[in-house]
Amino acid sequence: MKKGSVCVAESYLRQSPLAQRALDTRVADDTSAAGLVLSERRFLAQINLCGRIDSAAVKAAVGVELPTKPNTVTEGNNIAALWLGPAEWLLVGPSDAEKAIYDALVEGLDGKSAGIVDVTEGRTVIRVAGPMARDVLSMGCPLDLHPRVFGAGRCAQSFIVRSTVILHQVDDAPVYDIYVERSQSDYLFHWFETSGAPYGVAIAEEPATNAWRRPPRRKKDDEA
Amino acid sequence: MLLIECPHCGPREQTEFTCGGEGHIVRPDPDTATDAEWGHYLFMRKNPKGLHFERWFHAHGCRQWFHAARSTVTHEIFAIYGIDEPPPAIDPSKAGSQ
Amino acid sequence: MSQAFRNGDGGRIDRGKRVGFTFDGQTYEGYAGDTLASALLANGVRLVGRSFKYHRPRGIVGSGAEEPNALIQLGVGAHTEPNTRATQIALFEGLIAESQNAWPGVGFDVGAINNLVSKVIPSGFYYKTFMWPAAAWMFYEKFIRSAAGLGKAPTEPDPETYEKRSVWCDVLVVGGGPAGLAAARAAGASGARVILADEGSEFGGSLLSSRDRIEGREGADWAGDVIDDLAGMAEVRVLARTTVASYHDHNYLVAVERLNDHLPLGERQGPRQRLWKIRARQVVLATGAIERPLVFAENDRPGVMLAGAVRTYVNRYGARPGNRAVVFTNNDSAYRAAVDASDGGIAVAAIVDCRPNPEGALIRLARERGIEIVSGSVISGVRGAKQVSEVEVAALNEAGDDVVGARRSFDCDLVMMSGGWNPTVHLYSQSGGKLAWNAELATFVPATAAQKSREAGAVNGSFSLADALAEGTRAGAAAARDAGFEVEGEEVPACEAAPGDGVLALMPLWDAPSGRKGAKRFLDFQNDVTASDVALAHRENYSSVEHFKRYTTTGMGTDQGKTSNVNGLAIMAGLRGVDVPEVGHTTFRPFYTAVTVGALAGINSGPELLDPVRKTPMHNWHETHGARFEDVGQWKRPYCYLRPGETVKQAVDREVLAARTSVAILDASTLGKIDIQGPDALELINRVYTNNFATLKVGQCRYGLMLKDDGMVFDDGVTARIGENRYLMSTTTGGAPNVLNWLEEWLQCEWRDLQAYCTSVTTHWAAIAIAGPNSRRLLAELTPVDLSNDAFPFMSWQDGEIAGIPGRIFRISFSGETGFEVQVPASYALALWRALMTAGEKYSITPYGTEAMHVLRAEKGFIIAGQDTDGTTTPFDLGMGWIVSKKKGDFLGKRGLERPDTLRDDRKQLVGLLTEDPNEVIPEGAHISPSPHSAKPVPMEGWVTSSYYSPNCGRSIAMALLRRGNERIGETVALPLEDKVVRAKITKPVFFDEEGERLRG
Repeated sequence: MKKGSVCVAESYLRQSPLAQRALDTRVADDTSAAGLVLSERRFLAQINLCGRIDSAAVKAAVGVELPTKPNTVTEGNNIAALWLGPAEWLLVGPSDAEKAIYDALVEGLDGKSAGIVDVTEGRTVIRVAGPMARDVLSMGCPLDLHPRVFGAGRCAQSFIVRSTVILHQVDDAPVYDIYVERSQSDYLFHWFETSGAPYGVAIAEEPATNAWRRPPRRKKDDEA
Repeated sequence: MLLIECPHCGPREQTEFTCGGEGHIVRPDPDTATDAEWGHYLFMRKNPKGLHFERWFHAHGCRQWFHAARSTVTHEIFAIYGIDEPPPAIDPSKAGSQ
Repeated sequence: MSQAFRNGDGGRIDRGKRVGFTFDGQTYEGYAGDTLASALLANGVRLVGRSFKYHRPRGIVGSGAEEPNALIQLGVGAHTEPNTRATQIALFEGLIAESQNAWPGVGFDVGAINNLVSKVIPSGFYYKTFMWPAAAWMFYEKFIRSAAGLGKAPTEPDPETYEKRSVWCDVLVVGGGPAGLAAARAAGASGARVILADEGSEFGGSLLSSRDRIEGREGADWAGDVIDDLAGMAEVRVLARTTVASYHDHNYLVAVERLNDHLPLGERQGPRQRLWKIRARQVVLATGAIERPLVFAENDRPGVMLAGAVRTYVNRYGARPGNRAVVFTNNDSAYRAAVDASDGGIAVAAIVDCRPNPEGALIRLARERGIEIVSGSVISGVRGAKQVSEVEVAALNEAGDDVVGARRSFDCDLVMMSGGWNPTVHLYSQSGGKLAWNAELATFVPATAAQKSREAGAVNGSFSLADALAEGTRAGAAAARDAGFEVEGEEVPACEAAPGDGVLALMPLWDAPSGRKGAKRFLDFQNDVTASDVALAHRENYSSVEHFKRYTTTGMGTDQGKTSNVNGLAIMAGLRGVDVPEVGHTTFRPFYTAVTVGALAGINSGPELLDPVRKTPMHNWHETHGARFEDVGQWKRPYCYLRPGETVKQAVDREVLAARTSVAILDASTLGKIDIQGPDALELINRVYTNNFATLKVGQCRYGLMLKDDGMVFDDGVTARIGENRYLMSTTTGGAPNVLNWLEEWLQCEWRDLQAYCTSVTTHWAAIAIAGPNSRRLLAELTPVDLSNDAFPFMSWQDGEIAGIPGRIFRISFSGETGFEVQVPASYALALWRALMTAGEKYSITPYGTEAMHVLRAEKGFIIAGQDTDGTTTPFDLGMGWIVSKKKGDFLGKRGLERPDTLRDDRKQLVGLLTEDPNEVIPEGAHISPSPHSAKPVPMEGWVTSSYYSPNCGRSIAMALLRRGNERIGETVALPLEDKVVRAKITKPVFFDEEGERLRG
């Protein structure tokens, strides 16, 4: 194995941080009556990128452009690129794609001016949906999540109660993906269930993801 | 609780930030600084009533450092500027300085 | 007696809905829409409590948040809440209320003896009497505390839930009276995000108590229509039963919405209260005004009420607080109350007016009703113990400082008083706004706002309805505009108010003379402060506003002096011969009215939600295998694993011995890990560590010590070189976020030219430490990597599969044993842990916790940053001078280590301590003195930083920071403990395998 890269072992050995909550056994047939609908998006590939990054090179390597506008998300080739800072992004892809995405980035960027780190295992994602999603978030998150300010395609780093999180609004419905450190995810999930309890909480099936495929390599990327 | 305009993320609650204290402190050349100068750099800080130039860190956000010019009397923030920028000209009397 | 004081019609109560309730054990009936106060008054209940200090009988005074007397213990058992105001408790079926501060009951109260001996307990009595001798305070306090205090806190856990929400808005309007409603409508029409909050159950404020008309409708109906309009605006949020309780910096306000408190217990659903944390672009304060009592002899008798409150009870609730009233006023507004009372079925015997010649529209209205006006006069006495029965009226002399002539008596069961009105400036003042004295109104009014806020209506001293509507409309529109919205038209609603509306024509009367010495003239009803107490404070020179307040306790009750403060200031000003503004005013502090602790806590209580709990991937395994956890920062770490029947010490000893004799594993996942990349990664690492990393090759790792720039130890850990320009730095568990922030701070603020990128991978990689003589044999069974000493020397690392899981193996050790640390992606860590436990069975593999880890490292004299160091400790103090590079260029702390103070030879240095009794384990933190016989004050020369029983040494071991420790090896010192003095010999801080043969073995 190449030093510094990432790899994958037999998947049956793998356990998400919310595994003991056995969410798959609690999936509701009908979530329409619930104010808050929760699910875990397990093992999403997460690659942290920082430094003076050539966005075109990233696009050529993995198929997504980096957002330049703060707190926004661009999407392409089944990867979401979240703005984290003026020189920091989080690339999020489907599960099991982290090694391929990482390798493509290392190859595509020169590696000298960039920090490329696989952080897949560091966080899990709690998907928060339902008509009370925004209200429940407001019980712990200080961000202004009003649709005039924060809508689909927006992301932000902040906290929920006292856990540092990344919020990504994926749909105006609204639907949010909450990235939380795996060590705190059990606490935060419990917090969501408790906060949402007065409004009804349902567990939804884990959302499906589409596979990531490496873009065809061209000699020169002549796209604008 | 302050509302702080992060230069990148816009207005955010103070709880997302940590304050790094007085800004624009120059680290002297360690080879030439006297003990007194080094001690001053390490330990001596202004504690003004009124206009204060500070460093803030958006710890629970974009993790960027920046400067703020703030009144320690009214907490009004007069300017937010880059960590590598010099302090802007602000009339100290506006900030309740004495 | 069934609502004998209820009018047959009128008011905003629903006579079709009877509501049964209990007060002091007696059952009563009221109507839906009542407050507890209005229902009690309708039932003829006058006596509702006893005063705090003298236990005098007290009745309802006000009709809202200002109420000083009618404090209620509401509900029973776990649901009980003390100090609630009867005037703000919405009546519901089955409500149970108790009066407070009286035993055995309000009718006969043993504590009333204080009233008879009140001459010997004036202001400052407690301060003066119980301070001597000083030591006796502890004794007195117990009795004073039991005699004092108002209601009782529940003893059971709170069964209710609470909710907190953050909300942002363009315009927050506080107060739902005419000004607030007009403001909300004007702002809401612009499309701005508007929140309108009012503490009442119904919007309308003063309109609910008046008979004024707006836009051709009853004022209350107009209010209802405005609320309907606002409900139709998508971006407007209307919050009833919501008290905006505090106003903080940058337009941050906290409000409490009472979602359930008005409902019978059985009908309550969801959270009891919701705390709103509001960030508003613009604020409109339309908080109204509170009527001021008059200070006159025996003005605390039950039945002496604020005139405006009586008007509210009559107009809004159809309840008569009495059948025959005497009005006492210094201004016109009481005439309006008198007229409404008269029209509402209360015979008004007289209006006693201190002004010599009151004239005007309202006075004429009163005269038209045949009410006698006794001008230039005061009430000089009130008779009736548990209810007013008669008042005595006397004429003022020309100077207005005494009474003259014959007294007249009036039979009455109600006194309606008005001393003017104080704008409710609490929130305005909390926001930092400056107040100015308005001599015409004789009160403080807003002058210069400090934040993005506006005031409208009575809070501005604009007491007429027309002004309230105009100011409200203007303020709402301007606020929306300043928040960036376009406002079209600013139509002020037309109104018809009674003639003379808003006119006070007030003549200050701060302390009405009675011609009788010793007649109590109350200023603060709740805290039993009289005008004489103010005079005493003045005589004893407690005449500055802050001293006077604390000496007399004026305004220090649960009502925070809503009715008493201005009167107190004015009386003090009179005594000092200065104007009121010269005395000044005390600071208005949050909260406006009390906020329950539950609302502040929300759901964040209990072991699971009080603070984030961080768990490693193996947490559940630990839990099911007897782990006793300890908190390390927010992490839960196994302290030890208890087997059935084992004590903690036995478990720790067993774990420690296993690591030295066979093999033991530790969940080390909590250690901080930072991935550092970039062309300048090495330069960064060299600048933050004291030792040189330039010679570190890929595949090697090195221990490093990190200093703050003052030379003091900050953190430590092992850094591995992963690639040409890539390092993995490890930190202490607690220091992880601090170290990452520290690196960011230097990179962004000082070393902006360095290209190095730091990313936390603490939770990406889980880590397991494997220690002990069998560690190599065990690990070799699970990995193809050659673990031999030659192929895999101490302080190196390799990639490799372990139990089929790709990860990294580090040949490092914090136990001083032959050992490895294995890091794998976190979601595989439990599988690896299980694989190790299974494969290790034949070696009796033992999981060990943090305590065994501590013992193992202490045996070796390895420090823990933050335990054996405290921010004043240099590497030299620790005997770690070897790790401070003398060759390398500048690094953080280098220059700091050369300062004269850090070079002093009498600094505290890390030493070992061996107690004379080998079984004596010194408590950590114990101080060290040179001899057990040292004279007092016993010199303290240092303290114990780490202390354990070491099963490997067969005795206790300790580390300590001791003054001049290095040169005192071999000496004996004394450690004075609570019950004995322990003697110990100073040694080097290494107790086991000093040569480190096992480590490299």
